[in-house]
Amino acid sequence: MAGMTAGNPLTSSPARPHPAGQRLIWLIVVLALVGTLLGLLALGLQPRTSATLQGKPAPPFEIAAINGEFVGQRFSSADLRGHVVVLNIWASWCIECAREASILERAWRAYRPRGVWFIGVDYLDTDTAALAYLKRFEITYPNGADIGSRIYQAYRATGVPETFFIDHDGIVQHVQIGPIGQAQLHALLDRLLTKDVSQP
Amino acid sequence: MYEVLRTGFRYLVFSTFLLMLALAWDVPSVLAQTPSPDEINRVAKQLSCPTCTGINVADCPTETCAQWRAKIGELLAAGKTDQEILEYFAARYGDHVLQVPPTRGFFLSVWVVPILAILAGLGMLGYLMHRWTKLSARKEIPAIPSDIAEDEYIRRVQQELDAWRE
Amino acid sequence: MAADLGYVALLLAFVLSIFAALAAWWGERRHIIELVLSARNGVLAVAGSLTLAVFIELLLLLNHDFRVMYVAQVTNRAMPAFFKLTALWGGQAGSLLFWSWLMALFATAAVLSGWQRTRTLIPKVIVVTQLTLAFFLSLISGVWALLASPLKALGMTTGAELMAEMETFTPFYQLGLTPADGNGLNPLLRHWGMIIHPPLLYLGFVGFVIPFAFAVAALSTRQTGDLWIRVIRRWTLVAWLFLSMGLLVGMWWAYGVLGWGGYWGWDPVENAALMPWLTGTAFLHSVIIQERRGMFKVWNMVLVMITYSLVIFGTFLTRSGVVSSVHAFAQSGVGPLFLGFVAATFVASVLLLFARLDSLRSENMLDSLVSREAIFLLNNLLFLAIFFVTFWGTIFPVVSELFSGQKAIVGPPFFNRVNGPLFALLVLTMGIAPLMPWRRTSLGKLARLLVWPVLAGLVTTLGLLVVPTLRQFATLPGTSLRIVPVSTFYGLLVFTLVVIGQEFWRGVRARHRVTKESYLSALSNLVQYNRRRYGGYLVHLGVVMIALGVIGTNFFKVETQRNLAQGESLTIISPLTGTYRVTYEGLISASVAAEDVRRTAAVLKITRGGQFIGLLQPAQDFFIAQEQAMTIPAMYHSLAEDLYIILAGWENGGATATFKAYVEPLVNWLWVGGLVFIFGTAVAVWPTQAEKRRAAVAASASGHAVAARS
Repeated sequence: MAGMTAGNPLTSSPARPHPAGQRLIWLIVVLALVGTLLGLLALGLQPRTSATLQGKPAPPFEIAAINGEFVGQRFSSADLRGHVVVLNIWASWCIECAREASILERAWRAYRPRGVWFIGVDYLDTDTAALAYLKRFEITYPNGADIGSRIYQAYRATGVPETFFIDHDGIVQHVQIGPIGQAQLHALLDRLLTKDVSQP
Repeated sequence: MYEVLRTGFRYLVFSTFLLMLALAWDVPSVLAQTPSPDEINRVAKQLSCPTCTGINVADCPTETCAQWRAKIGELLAAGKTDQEILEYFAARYGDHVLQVPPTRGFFLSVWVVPILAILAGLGMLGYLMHRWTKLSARKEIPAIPSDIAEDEYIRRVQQELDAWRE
Repeated sequence: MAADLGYVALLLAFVLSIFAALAAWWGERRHIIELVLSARNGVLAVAGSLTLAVFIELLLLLNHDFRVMYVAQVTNRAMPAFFKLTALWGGQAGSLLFWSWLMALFATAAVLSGWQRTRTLIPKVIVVTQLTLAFFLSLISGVWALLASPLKALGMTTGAELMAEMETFTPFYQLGLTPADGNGLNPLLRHWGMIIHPPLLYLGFVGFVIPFAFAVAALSTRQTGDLWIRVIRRWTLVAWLFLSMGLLVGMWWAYGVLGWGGYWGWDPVENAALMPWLTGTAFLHSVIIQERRGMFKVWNMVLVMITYSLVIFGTFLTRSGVVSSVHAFAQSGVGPLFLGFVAATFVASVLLLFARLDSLRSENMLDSLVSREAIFLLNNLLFLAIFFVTFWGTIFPVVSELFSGQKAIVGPPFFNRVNGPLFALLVLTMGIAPLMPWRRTSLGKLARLLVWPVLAGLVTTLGLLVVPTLRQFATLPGTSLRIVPVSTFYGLLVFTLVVIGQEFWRGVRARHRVTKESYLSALSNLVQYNRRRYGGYLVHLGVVMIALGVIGTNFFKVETQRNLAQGESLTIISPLTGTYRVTYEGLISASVAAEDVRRTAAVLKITRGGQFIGLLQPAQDFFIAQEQAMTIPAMYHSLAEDLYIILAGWENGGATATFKAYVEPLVNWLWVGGLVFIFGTAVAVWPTQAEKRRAAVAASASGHAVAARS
């Protein structure tokens, strides 16, 4: 409505010239309105992608597991502090996710003894479809629905799959956009684990 | 032995009763017809496809939307109302799956801001009109005969004709 | 090689446009006529080198030179040659090149046609058009990449990355290696509606730059008299005509191609094209008051400036017609640059406006609330309100994410609920305005003119309220009919219709009385010698017809979905005609012209009220290269309604298939009304010899009128 305000100097009659002070006030009001609007847009349109999380503290998360031995258990970022966490956001309708599913499961089995937790966050899925997917790929690490898509939004994910590697101190060390390969996954986990050993 | 039989019989009666109760309880959902695609679409239309832009769940061809329509069917069969289903989806997947933001908190501003803006515009318009008519009244413009429009119109027609005949 | 040449032509155009702007500015400031002449030639040279660039781009597209990244993005070998040509505006970089070329042509036309009559305004017109053009050319010529390393040196890594990306954002960017084949054009865009929609829209968009340029020129040189208003009225009408056609064709395309039975979804891309249309329409109305009464001068300037900003904003969002959201704005460096440009031009125009307020003093005051001026003010308020609602709804997802952390979707229900009543009020003002004379009228006289229209409107509304079939229909499941708003809206439409008819009748009668010519020739002469006024009424008639269709499809639409085995049928009840029965006969594989498309069609037998009316074949096209399926709706058209059927899917090789059927009442009135609308605009905009003569007569007559008034 900035325009409406700008039109207001119309009110002055032809008989009276615009007082300079009044005009200045109007100018400031109009520019402030326009500036606020454009500023809002500029802020809102800033790229908010998951990649910007790298090196920053991981946003908090909490899921209720729906599969395997962990059914009904809750997992939150606070509980898992002190562990290396691999947070994988996926969906059953996502074709790329299926490509990395068994790689993730194998890595979970290999690294679980070393204190690494894998957490699956199921984005925009129905429970039936999600359980069928977990069964199909025999996934045993805890998976839970992203209630209200909050985790997806907090992590500024731009699609599925995206995987976040969080270190002992709760810092995001790597953001994987798209499916991950086995070699890269193992290398990343080894790096995170050794890094933490070296830090007392 | 008798005792055992009696207890057994009692147990049988009781469990039959429970079973019947359970059946009776389940009757509506057992007998409820599977919802028609039209009923599902009625609800699906009020949800927006989360993975595409500008398409509602009823019209969207993706796998996600197909799953959601199936879920709507399940919930309808379970006797849920449209409103309950929408609330379920909003809670489960976030408010952005609704076609219109829920009426609470900051989301209210989607309605309030335009209404306030329109009222402000109306107010300003009223003020301007008031002020202008007052100013012009002070200038004392000679009153115009009420039929001037019609007369002027005929005059202009005449004028055009003259111009055309030249 | 050819790509290099094209790139050079593009760079040349960029440099020349900056030169022309500077030369015009300096030449005017220092009164160096040679420099102004040189600037004018610069404008011509820009148009020339852009024409060359476009020509080369077309050659590259035709010869599938996939080494050029843009060519690989939007074409492939299997595509028909025709689509290869239209792929020029099928992607971002190409459509910006196309936009710039059109802009250069418009600027040339404006400069050449205005050279004689508005010489004093032309230098600033050159400055504004060429600076706008230079901005667009800077985007696609990769020059922003030069900023990457300075930004990096300053520690702004994100900005540096975004700018470095701009290097590839040119339609002539060449890849290191040549791909074997390209991606091909988005299947959604392979429809003739999508082929002519972007050019029309862009013509409308670039057209609105010219009025802005003249407005800025008039303001900065303090020539705020009648001159610029007269010049830009026609330019605005031309731009508006193209934009209206673009919107209508876009709706037609959405209806025929997107396959959801609708034509307008209030998504950001559509809104971006609608918003400048709304403010432009407001301007077309309020500028009449400035011409006639010398009022609202500041307001008109504001409207021109807002429209220009919206055009720039909209160009980005609609750049290729591909569905995108406001969020897509930030995906590359292009978005921030656009936002910066919009901000800079808007602030600059506001400052200029404030500096020149004194020269925009109103010559008259409002005499009465019962006058055309007052109604036009109301009309402007309504257009601006609809604009604001649309704007707010479009940016709300961004705003809500910022404030509440939760993204919200604002879908069609919001826009319909808020804008619907506003549109109804707009129809009301459209009906009343012609009855209101300028300055003031007596209420008695107004009442006399209102008798028949109000009576007709009331009879319609009351009739619809009591008619039993409408109420029966409203109780059927699956209808969205609400009787009170529908009856009110139709009453308003009839009211407006009768007013328009009455206006034609009054004019014809007056002419008949004076000249004794037959009624028919009186009508044709009336329109011919008052093109603006009666063209305007024709546009209003078109709007009434469009509204008829919009209400029909919004409130009377029926839809159903069924899974049918072969030989089974579904029924769908039409509110206006009979009951349709749709029988599924079987699935066939059909061939279509393009070799990379596989079509599967269902054969449906259609009867209405028991009578066979034809076969329909809704289909799905599978685009092999893109692995993308597209639904092709089948329609049975009539003036009362369309039967619109889509094939949603099939199982077991077509043993069963799922169909969605819609009855779209009165939808064809929308398209016919659109034609009337465009015809009316063309009538109003077309210059004639007689009109020029009349302008001379009118000028002397207004001189007399002024003398008489004082």
